[in-house]
Order: sequence, then C-alpha cells, then structure tokens
Amino acid sequence: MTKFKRKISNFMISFLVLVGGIIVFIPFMYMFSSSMRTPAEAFKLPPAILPERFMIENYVQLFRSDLPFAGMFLNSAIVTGVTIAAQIIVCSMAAYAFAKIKFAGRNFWFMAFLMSMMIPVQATIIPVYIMMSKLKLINTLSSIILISVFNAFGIFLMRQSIASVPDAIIEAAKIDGAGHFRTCWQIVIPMVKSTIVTLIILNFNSIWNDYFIPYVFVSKWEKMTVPLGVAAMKGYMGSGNKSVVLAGVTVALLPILIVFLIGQKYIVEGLTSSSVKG
Amino acid sequence: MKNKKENLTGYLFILPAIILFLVFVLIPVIAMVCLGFTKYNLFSAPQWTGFSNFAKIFSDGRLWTVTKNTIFLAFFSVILNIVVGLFLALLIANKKSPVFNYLVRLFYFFPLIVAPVYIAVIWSNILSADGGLLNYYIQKIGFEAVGWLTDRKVALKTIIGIEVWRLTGFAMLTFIAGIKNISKDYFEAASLDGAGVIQTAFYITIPQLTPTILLNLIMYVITELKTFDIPMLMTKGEPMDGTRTIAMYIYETAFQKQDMGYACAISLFFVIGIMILTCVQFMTSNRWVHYD
Repeated sequence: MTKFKRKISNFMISFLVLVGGIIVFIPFMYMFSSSMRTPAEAFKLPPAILPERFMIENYVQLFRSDLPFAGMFLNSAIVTGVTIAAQIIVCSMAAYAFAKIKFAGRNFWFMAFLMSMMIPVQATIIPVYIMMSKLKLINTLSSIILISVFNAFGIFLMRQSIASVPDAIIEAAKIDGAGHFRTCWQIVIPMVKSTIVTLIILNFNSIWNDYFIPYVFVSKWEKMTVPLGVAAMKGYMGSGNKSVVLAGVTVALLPILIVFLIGQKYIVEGLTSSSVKG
Repeated sequence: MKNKKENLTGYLFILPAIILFLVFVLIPVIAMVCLGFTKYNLFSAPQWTGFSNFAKIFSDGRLWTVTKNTIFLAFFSVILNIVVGLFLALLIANKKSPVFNYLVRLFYFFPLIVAPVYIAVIWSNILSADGGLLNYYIQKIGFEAVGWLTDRKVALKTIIGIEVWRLTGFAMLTFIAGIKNISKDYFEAASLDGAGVIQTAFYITIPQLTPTILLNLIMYVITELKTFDIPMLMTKGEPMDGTRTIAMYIYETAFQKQDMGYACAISLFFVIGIMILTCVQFMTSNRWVHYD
C-alpha cells in the first residue's frame, strides 16, 4: 500500500515539475505563434493559441524592410567566428603553459588572470572606449572582437583539463624530439577536444547573444549585430507591428537553438564539471 | 640553461594572453583609477580635479538609489535562483525516464541560451500595461491591472521575477550534477536510520551540496550585480530610477552625460564593491561549506 502511495506521489511530482516547465516555456510559444500573426491579430486579446492565418510574410518582411537584417546576421557571424577562433588559440596556448611548462611566475600570472574574472566589463568599458575612439575603431566589428578575445574562464577551464593529461605523454613526445609547440598542438590539444567543444559552445552563446559591448561601440545600422538590431527594431517599429519584431527574435534564436540542441550534452557537462569540481 | 629555455617558452605561450590582459584589463583598470581624479569628456584633455569625483560619490542621491536597486535586485534574485534551482533539483535528481529528463532540462534551461535582449522583447509584450497578455488574464479573473513595468513599487520586483525565470535552470542543473556525485552510502545509511525525504534533504543532501551552493552564489552574485540589458531594454531605468542599476548609471554618466571622470570614479566604487563581496563569500565559506 505504501509502495503504491509512493508511486502516486512520485508521479505527481514529475507531473507538476513538467507542468512548471511548460509554464516556463510559454513565453517562447507566445513569441513563435505571435510572430506569424497579422498586425491586427497580434493585438487581439485573448490571443488564439495558433494564428488565424500563418503570416510567413512577417519573416519575408524582416529581410526586405529598410533595416539591414541580413547584414546584421553576417556581422554577428563574423564577430562570433573570429572571436571564438582567436579565443581558442590564445586559451589553448596559455592553458598548456600553465599546466605543463614550469616557468618562473606562472602562479602569479594564473592568479592575475583568475582575479580578472571579478572585474566586470561594465566597469572597464570607459577606458577601453576612449582607447578605441583614439584608434578610430568605434563603429567597427574589430572593436567588439578585440575586447572579447581575452577569456580568463576559458584559460581556467582548459588548464584544468590539460593538467589531467599525464606528464608521461609529454615526456615521451620530448624524447621523440618534439618541442612544446608541437606537443601542445599535435598531442595535447587533440586530447582535450571535448573541453574545447564545451568552450566553443559556451562562448558561442555568450558572444552571439552579447548586447552590452556592441551597444557601447556600435551605433551605425550597417555595423550592428543581431541583438543590437533587434533591440533597435523594437524601438523602431515595435508599436506598429510587433509580429515582425517577434519574427526577428525567432530568427535570431535559430542559430543558438541549433548549437544548443547539438551540443546540449557538452553545455551541461561543461557547466557542471566546472562548478562541481570547483 | 634548460630552465632559461623553459622560462622563455612559457612566456611565449602566454604572451598573447598577457598582452590582451594588459590592454583590456589591467591598463583600463589603472586608467579608470587615474581618470577618476579628472574631469574628462573625450573631446578635450582631462582636467585634474583631485578628489572631487570621489567626494561626489558620497553626496550623489541618485547613485545611492541605483546602488540600493542593484543590491536589492542581486540579493533577491540570487537567493531565489538558488532556492528554486535547489528545490527543483531535489525533486527530480533521481528520475530515471530519459524522456522526462530531456524535456525538463530543455524547458528549464532554455531561457538561459536566449539573449537577454530577446527576453526583454518577449516579456515587454506580455507585461505591457495596456494590451499585455498577463494583465488581460488578471483582469479576467477579477483583479485590477498591475503596472508591471510602470509602477515604481512593482517594476524592480518584476525584473527580479524575470531574472529568476531566466537563470534558475543553471542552478538546477549544477545541483542535479552535485546530487549525483554524492556517495550512495550516505543515502543508504540515512534510510536505514529511518530518515524521511525531508530529513534526508536537510541533513544529507544539502550539506553535501554546499560546495555547489558556494559556486552558484559566486557566479550569480557577479552576474546579477552587473545587470544591464534587461532593465535597459524593458524600462530604461524608469519609473523614476526605480529599476536603474549601477551598470546603467555608469553608462548614462559616461556616454550620455559625457562625464567620463565621474563615471570612472563610480566604476572604481563598483569594482571594489564586487571584489569585497566575492572575497567575503570565499572567506566565510569555510564556516558553512563542507568538503570531504
């Protein structure tokens, strides 16, 4: 009898947690169905769950309006791609050095990098902005890329992972005549591939979604990234046709959704291993 | 000789990172401190003004308001994120159905991968005072419409609500992983001693999870203290500075009022605040975090 009771209560808990999850998800369903409504229907209350007529035109209008939405996608892709590539190179080399090369001052620099995680970009942005404006880099994609490349968390995550590669492997490579450079890129980095994938996914998320840095550095339509463009669009035509804005949000979500669905395992592992092992 | 070579190689490997660290972290921090002593607007040379910017910090009523907002926001969203995430994790950590696990993780984690910008757009539509979805249903069941983003008493709490909705999935996932790492022996011993579900949670699971709680605490505190995007896009800091945070105030002072000197002084105050809070969390942690 008690076993039966326990089963019922277990089922109830699962059911309630799942219902809670669906409630958490409702805003996104609202976004998706509203993105296909006609302008008039978008303001109708209560909204029907499904649009009266699926207005795919909203999505077409997105790319035909006077806002360069397609160009923003390209900008975001360039910024995200270049930043991540540069980050992986910088982080891998630094992490390898911190884990496997015994040089004077390595603890000092490692601590300095870790400490920098406490300094938010919102605080250092003013001097960086002044520097960028002196270098005439305001309103360029380079400004966004340059400030985003340094990633102390990435160095930390990769150092933990490279430290677990046995020293014997590095010794063996050395006996075979490989220097640190070759050992790093040809032997060690391929061994920590899964950490790199985790890092790429986490950074894809944070750079593709970043608003603050592009907001400070960029004000020209042609140089805007997608989040900046969607925010500007909200002010620009938000009151007129919210369906098109919501269509913009839906399209902007697609790349991150794809990355998430492919790499879900890595995101979860990456986040949790860094926080559980500490 | 060999040592020297190792030193050289080591520095060659970390050189790119060091350069970026110097140019984008250390030098800006030093410049920030120096500019704090000046009056500067980007178009003319900085003028030395001594401690006047730092003195102004103590008499600036708006800075006091935004600091209070930021601390209120951070305090409640951190606590709620951790409590809700922990509660959910305790409920579902032992569920075995893969479909259930997949769906729950997808639903609760999804808001985390969505940019705050898009979240602001979606929620602005749902919460708008007239024609918003939520007020429509609230009025329908017989209550009065709420100024979710326009009533000064409510707006900041609305932002906290969105922060918890948005970020609690992270705590949930880390706690689930933490619970799976706890040795089964503890749970067996507890059940042999006749401990119930709630007793096991409070005497076994939660104490064992304290390292995860500490890490969540540190991550969430830093994230919430620098809140910018969501209030900026949903309320612009209104009504009457009711949702303005320190980061928004720094932005406004530096880039809209062109008072870069004072903005740097506030930034310094902000960085020192974050550092003190983080250090306090680490230092008091040995009193309540159990490692074994």
